[in-house]
Amino acid sequence: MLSSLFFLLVNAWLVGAAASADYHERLLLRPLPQDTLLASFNFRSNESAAAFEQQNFGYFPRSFGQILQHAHAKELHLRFSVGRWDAENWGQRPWSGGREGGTGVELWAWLEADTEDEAFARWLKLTNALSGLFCASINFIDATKTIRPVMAFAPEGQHSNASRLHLLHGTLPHEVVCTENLTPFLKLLPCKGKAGISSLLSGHKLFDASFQTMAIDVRPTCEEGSATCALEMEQTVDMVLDLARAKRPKDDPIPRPLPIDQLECDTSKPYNAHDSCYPLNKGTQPAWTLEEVFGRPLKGACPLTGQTGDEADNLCINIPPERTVEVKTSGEVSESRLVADTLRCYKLPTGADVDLVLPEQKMATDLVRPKPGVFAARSINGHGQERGSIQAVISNPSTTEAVEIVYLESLPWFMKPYLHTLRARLDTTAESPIKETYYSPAVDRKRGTHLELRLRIPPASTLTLTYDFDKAILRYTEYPPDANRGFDVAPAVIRVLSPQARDHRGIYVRTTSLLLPLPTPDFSMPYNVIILTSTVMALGFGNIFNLLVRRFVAVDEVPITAAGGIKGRVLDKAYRLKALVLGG
Amino acid sequence: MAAPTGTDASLAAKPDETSSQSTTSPNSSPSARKLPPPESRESLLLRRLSILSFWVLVLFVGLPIWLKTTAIYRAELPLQEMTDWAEGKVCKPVFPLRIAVEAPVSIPDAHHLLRTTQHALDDINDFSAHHLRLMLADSPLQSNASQQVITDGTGIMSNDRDVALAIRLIPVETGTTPRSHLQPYTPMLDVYYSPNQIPSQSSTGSTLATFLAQELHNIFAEEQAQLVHLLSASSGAHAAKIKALSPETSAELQRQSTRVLKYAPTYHLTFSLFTPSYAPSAWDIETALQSYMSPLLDAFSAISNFTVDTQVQLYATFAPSIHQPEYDEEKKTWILHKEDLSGFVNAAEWPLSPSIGEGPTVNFILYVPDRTQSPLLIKENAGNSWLIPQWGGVHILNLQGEPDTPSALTADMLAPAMHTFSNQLISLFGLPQSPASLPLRLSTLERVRAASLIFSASSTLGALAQVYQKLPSIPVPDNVAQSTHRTIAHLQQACDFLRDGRFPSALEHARSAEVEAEKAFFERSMVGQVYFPDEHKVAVYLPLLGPIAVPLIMAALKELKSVFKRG
Amino acid sequence: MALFTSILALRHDKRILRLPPYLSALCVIIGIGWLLVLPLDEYSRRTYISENAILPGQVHTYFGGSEHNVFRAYRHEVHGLIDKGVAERSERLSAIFHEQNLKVATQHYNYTVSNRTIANENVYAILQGPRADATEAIVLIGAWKNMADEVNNSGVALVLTLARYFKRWSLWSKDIIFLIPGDSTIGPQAWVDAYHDGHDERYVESLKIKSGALQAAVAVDYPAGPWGHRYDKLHVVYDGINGQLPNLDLFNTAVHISSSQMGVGSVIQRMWDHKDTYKDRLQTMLRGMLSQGLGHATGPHSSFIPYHVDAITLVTVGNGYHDEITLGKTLESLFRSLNNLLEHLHQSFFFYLLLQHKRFVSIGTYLPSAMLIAINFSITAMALWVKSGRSPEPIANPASTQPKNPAFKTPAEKQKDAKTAEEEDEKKEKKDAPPRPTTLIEKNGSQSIHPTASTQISERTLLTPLLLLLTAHTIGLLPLYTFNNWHAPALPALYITTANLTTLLPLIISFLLFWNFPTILTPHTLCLLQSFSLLLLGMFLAALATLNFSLSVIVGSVCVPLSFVRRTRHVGLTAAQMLGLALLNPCMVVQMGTKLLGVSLAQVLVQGAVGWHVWGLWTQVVVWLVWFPAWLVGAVVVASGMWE
Repeated sequence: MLSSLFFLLVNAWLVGAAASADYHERLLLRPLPQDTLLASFNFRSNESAAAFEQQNFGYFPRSFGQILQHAHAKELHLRFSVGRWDAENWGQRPWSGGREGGTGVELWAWLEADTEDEAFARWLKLTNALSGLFCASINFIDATKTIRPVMAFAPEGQHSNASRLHLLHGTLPHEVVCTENLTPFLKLLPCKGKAGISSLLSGHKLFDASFQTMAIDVRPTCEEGSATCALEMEQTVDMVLDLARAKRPKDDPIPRPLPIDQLECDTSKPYNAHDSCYPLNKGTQPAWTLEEVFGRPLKGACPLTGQTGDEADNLCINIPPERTVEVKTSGEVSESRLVADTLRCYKLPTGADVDLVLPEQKMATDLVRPKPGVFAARSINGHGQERGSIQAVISNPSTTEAVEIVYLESLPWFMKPYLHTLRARLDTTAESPIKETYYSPAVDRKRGTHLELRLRIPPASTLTLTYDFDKAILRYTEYPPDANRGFDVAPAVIRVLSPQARDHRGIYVRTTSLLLPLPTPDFSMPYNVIILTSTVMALGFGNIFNLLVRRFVAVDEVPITAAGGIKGRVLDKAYRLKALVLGG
Repeated sequence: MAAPTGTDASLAAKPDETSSQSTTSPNSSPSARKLPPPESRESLLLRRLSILSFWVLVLFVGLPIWLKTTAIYRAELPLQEMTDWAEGKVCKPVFPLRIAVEAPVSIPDAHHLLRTTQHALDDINDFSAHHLRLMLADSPLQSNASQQVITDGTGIMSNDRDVALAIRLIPVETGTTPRSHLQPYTPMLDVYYSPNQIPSQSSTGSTLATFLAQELHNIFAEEQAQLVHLLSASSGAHAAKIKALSPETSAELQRQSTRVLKYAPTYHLTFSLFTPSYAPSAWDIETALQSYMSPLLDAFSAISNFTVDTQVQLYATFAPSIHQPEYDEEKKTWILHKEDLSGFVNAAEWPLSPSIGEGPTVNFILYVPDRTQSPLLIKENAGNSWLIPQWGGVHILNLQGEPDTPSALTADMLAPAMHTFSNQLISLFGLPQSPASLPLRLSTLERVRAASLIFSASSTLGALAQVYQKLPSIPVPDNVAQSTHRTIAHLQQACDFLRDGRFPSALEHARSAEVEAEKAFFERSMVGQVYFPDEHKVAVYLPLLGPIAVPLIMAALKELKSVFKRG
Repeated sequence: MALFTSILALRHDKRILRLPPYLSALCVIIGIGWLLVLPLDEYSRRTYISENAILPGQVHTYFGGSEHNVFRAYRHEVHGLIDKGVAERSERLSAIFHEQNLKVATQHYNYTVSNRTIANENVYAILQGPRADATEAIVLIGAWKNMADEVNNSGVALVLTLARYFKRWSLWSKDIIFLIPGDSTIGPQAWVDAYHDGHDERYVESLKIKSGALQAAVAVDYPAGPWGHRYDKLHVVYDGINGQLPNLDLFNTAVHISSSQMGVGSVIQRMWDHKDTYKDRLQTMLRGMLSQGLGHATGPHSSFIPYHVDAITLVTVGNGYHDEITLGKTLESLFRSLNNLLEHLHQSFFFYLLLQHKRFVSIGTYLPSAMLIAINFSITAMALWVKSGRSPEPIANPASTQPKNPAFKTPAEKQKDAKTAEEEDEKKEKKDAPPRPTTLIEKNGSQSIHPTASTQISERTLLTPLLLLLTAHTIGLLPLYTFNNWHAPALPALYITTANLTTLLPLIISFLLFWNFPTILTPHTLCLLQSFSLLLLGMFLAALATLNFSLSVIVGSVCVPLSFVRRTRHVGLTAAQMLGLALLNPCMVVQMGTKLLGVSLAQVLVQGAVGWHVWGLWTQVVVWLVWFPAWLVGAVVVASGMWE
């Protein structure tokens, strides 16, 4: 409990480090169980509103700023995510989920517009421009993938005219986030990965992580009282590296079986012999260094950051006090221990490489990681081509206080939920947890389903949310090339309303995305169908036509030249043959 | 109905069979074979009618519907008109320039002077399309009330913006006369003359007249050259009756036109500060722009409008492809080779993406080299700035004096760069070198632009017409036709305005004509792939059409045969 | 059109009525013959991989080296658990998975089938693929007990080793689920049901952790003890529940990898040494058809296939020189191929008969045989219908002019002596329309001649036969229920009684009906009854052929005589027919089948019950609700001949 209190302090401290300078960056390292390491990068740059309006960009990237102005976006949040956060083992999410997106790409923004249509037009401009900037297919966020959430998101910045702001939200669960998205992300930084902590970010390691999310958040900030506002751009990268995988040399990433002599065996086993070896697991923290984990050295500090106070501490590592850390650098590094020594921060030298070396060590105590506010899992039940049901299990681990959440579903139009089948069951009480429902049904090929629920989960109880849906049949041109893979359903977004978030970022949890198999036709069929149907029609036509225009006469009256019907002809032949044979 | 027919037919046949045992088969004795009873007229008629009706239905309902539903929609385009425009048959751009003359002399004298000068002018001028019309302006200086002023049709207000140039005749005693002085910031030419040089009513020629004519001709010489070049460069219709320029002038004009930016109603100017290290990380660009750029942009605002944005980019390294600057021992400077200048801007790394919105982006790059590489100069001419045609300009700012690179650049550090940039902007904009007066140059630009826009728009129309004729299988939506019509309308108006010398409005219409033409030509749904080729159509519908057609045709043939048989 | 006319004109041709028996006989013969020619090269095809993404055997496999030591260690571990309790076993297995940093869970299941409780526990671990987004998963199964009920010692150990080995790769684009069910058939069923939430919570525990949509499942069966055993070939088992089959691509991939990449021969349908002769191919095909027709679970993979998850089981057989590493490499390569999949397996065939591990027959080729057999019933049914519609004639003495095999002659003969008079002059005249007694109809001046038959009306009474048919089918429900819910030990006894009862049933029924309601059992009614029953049978079999070809063929062929037996008053004839039918009594057939296959009847019955309750098996439905009623009706019709 004590160390979890420390943890809260850590978060509070990290969040509290507001950027008074124009640029600020920090890397927080936190070893997690199962030999994994959480590295969360945070870059923050401010631009005065006046300069922004005049398009005099300093640290704020010009290309991005122009997009914002073009689309009249007052506040914007963009997320690229891959992988899953293992809440059971890793505890609470970085930034308590506030800087995290669903699998793929997620984008939501507050646009200034007079009418809904104008807002949507600007939204399309925004998505198109962003897709060009980030080499992602964000422009595929069309009307069917766009919703207007009501409760699930709250603006993080201070907005002067909130009345004219429209919140739009879109997701691309199928988008594969990869290196080509990281490069533009880095180019937006003032130091461009040439110096400072961003020099650690390399595509190979980032996308080999078990969980990684890149976030861009732009919000207006105004000091209380003074009218001087600024535009704050925050870029965040959180990644969970599997140390064993990350430490593998880049030139030989293949995990060959270890040579037998390097294999550490559990000699206590009776059958232990030269040919059989039970892999030994020693409960030690593995050894690692920054350079081998990230595959490149840390090139000093980015000189634009503030040089004084805690802003100068660009590199922090959150480990138990007795864990030994050795700093290797040619410049001078000042270490400062905070939050009861569980957090060590380093002021990096400019222009000198820095490396942290942590030896293998057996730990007596480990940091207690507080459980997240809620656990959530979602899955598709049932199988078959025409219907199914969605089941979301949300549990509140806290034994003392109830949580109040907003559950947001954004479903594609070809997945038709039945709201009357919506059931929310609590395992502890019989009372309905649903406090508020917001639902806008889908319109075929125009709009997706948008469902928002405000739920209250009592302490130590689990909520099971289920509803049934039908699967629509698409037109055969509407199927993607990999139709048989199935269609991705965007993750559900869960926002925790109470307990209150400690900062403006809010507390969020996102489920994994789902794969919805739809009935797929055999794509070679359409032409066959055309041919078959037209043949049948032609047959019917022929018969009726003949029936109408033919003259019916007796078989023997048929003139030889034009015999009546197939049978007539056949018989005719037969008679002639017989006549020949009998010589009649 | 069928079954009974079949059965009783067979039964009807029965009796005679049973009667004569000898006939074993109907075929063995064809003579005995009985013909079907003669068909009644009405049944015959009925059958023919039904066949006919089938045919009518197929021909007049089925086929049209089929063709309509499977056809590609192609809007009607005024092809002839478009090609005419493209070949320049419709509009021969002429540039009648009005030149107001204020003469502090008696009206008749003034008129006489005008006439003589006009004659002199027309004699020198050999480019018919571009022709100067002198007219008498009522002098604003009403100094001596004794002199009454008649404002007749020829007299115009000299502040009329359609007047290209105003000539002010100022009598002087001293100095060599006649002499002229062109005012740099207003379109006004002061001509100093001695009163005796005013030609008398009787005299035909006069020194003053010829002088004026010569002056005017010189002033508009370059403009004429540009227009000539433009006309000859455009479609051949005009080139015929245009005297060829001297090769060197045309080459010079060619060079200018290649570097000049394509015309657009809006230009985005991007000023970027690049540095290979982390300093300088800020610059006082607002004030610099205020003091050095704004006047120029205001002057240009008549023709185009501008957006300005700036950015600071640190850690901007050269592209690895070019070889890095090398140190020149004797000059004590770092030098870049001329051939490397093209690769100096590291397009892959440096974020110089064009600005969002209509119109091209003009980039001006201020590069502050690292201390270790400063000063950085170009080897050939030891210069530190160059212009990249149709793209922008680069200026290398070598900060001497300071011990260390300052973290911020002040406005007066930026002054030299700003001067370079404004010069580069002018030449990128295609402003002629002469005459000295900026307004004149601008109005020249106006005319040239208008002409070039008209030509480009009409050539676009021609291209569109060709596409329409060459590719019969592309769909052409209605809005293409609409924009085409709009284009033509605008072109017509532009042409008319040119004819009566209202150049700003002409430019206006030429602009919108250009825009519409582009819109029509780059219609997305037209660029889309060929939608439904005919062979494909046939292949798909053959299974239906074939079996239906066969019985129809057979029946028709059969009936026709029987008709002919009967007579 | 003219064609229609002539057909309609043929309506009254009596040859039409003489034809059917030959026609249906022909159908049957062709149908059977069709099956027999399938193994020839002309009618079968070589297998091929049609999904390009799979790229079988294109990757280099690294499994081996020190992994072998680990494998041996795990094998010892597993061996140590053999005689431990279920709880301890799954606890230990979970521990091992947990050491490998996988997410582990267990699932308990507890079925009650024919008063026996089948309780056991599944252990499964999920490896979250680094490239995966929890939308797709592939399953590696190592059942604790294999089909022969021996402990799958090395198989489970291999699964554990592979789990540890796969965890180190970062290229998995799908989650990998390692499943260790408590047994080979019921455990997987419980697991896969729960995974799709199709389970009954009273018997099966819900899954605690899930992953994405299952793409494929591979089970490994390697029951070698702690000291290993070198095998000779891999036996690829692919039959699913109710005769559903996995996509042929999966099978081909496995065969291709094992034989081409690893050099391990692969066999199917327990044909240990397949000479690729006609006989062997035919035998393979027939075995395949038999197991498909029975539709029982043939391995841990079977339960997955009904959920459209393609699955196979690899069983090591024989004594040779291949060891566990080869098997491990095969699995590694197979999973790398499955990992390549971009879409659910869909390119290749789902309906096929395998003749050999590299030859197959596709549905288009083999389906006609089953259809022909089904059609033969329909033809007879129609013939009977037409016959029932004809005006009843005085029955002539059957023994008058019948040279051979009256049983098959009866229908024709009946019309023959119907109008011998016309026969004579019909021989003379060469006409397509047969003459018959005609009547002259006069109507306002015009007169026309009509055949008398067409003016007379013969009425069909439909209600009684339909009711009788319904009853027959309802009777089928009784054994269906009892056999699925009776106590296991009592099942064989129940079976014998049923057998005897059903054999006597037709006689009893016909007797009762004859004495109590003699009006019901008129030849007319029986004719209709038989017609309806055969019609129904034909329809059922035709439909079934598209779902479970083999079952349709099997049932069809044993039902063939039903379309030829007729009611006759000739005692000897009736007796002969009765005898034949008695032998074709479903119970008898099943019993003989078990004798031939050398399996204990009790076992079959118990499996049937398990299948009904756990796997959702449909075979017994077909037997009791399609086959048995048809047989019963046929028997009753024949038996009714004895009581006159």
